[in-house]
Amino acid sequence: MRLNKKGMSMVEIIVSIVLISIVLIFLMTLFLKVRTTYNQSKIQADYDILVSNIIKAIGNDIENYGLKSAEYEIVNGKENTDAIVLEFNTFRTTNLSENITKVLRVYFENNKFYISYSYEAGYTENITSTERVTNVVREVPDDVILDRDGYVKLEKLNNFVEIKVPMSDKNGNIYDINIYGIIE
Amino acid sequence: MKKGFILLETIVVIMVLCVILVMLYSSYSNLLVKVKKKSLYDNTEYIYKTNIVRNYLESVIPESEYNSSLYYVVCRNSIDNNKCYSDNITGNYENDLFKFLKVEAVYIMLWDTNSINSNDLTGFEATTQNYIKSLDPTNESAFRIVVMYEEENNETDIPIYEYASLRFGSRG
Repeated sequence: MRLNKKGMSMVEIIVSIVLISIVLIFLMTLFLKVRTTYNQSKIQADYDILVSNIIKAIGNDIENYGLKSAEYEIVNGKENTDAIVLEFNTFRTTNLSENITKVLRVYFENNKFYISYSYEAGYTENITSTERVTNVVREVPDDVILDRDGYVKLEKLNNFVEIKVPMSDKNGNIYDINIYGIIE
Repeated sequence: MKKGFILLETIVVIMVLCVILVMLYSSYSNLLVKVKKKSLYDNTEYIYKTNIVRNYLESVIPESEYNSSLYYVVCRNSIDNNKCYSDNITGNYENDLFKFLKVEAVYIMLWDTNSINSNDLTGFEATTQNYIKSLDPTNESAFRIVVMYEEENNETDIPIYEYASLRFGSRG
């Protein structure tokens, strides 16, 4: 078999390298865009799940038990703007003279933020295991930016109540938790 | 022998590159279409708000008022005489509810939005038309409530409109 032992000329090699480089640059930008989109949607999914969990937990209680009142927690005579106490019209099954009371709280522990919506010992005595399993505690994604003036906001208009946890990520995307209730 | 690339070799290389690029582009554009479609999905907050609006409207609007037409406009802030709420009124339950939830428009329409053609939608806002077209209807004899909300836009003064829809009425 006779082989052409001359190989490629310099111009051919340069042309090939330039062509391959153009294609690679195009592909690299494409992959980077896809990766950025994937990362962004992953972060968004984490926030969406967190927001949905909290809205679902509080929304179900408002629908099933009827909202009686929503107020900031009072600590040493002052409003604590990191927690809101929600009292419902329905009584506890274990104590028919005590209304169901839950607390929405944002707190910082072990270098992480958490949002909890739960029965708390200070508001409910002898919490049962049935009640305890309805407690919701969720870790907030690491890059969260919360409002330092108060993690939780409460707005009212006559009987309408808006509970808000303003949140955003480091890129400025907003993922607020907004819950609406009607005091009955 | 100084032949270099022959035409056939060049065409083959270009063809192979083109096929790879077309495949990559189509998969990438599919991804973008999916992301765009996802942005039109109702989110939990608006579904929850719409549930409050629906519970109220189901108790005050009889089915006879909306079952004879393709769609029924409950209120729309873009039309002066049919605003959803007024900032000057307080103490009226419906006004306070719509003001508090920032309701911009409420429509009740057939569940099967395929039966509503584009000409019927000309009176709607462009964003509403897009939303209705993005719905995935099934051929059912039911109604849906579509609620449009105004959201603050932190970057510009132009408001953002968000939508959510749920089944409405006894047939839901």
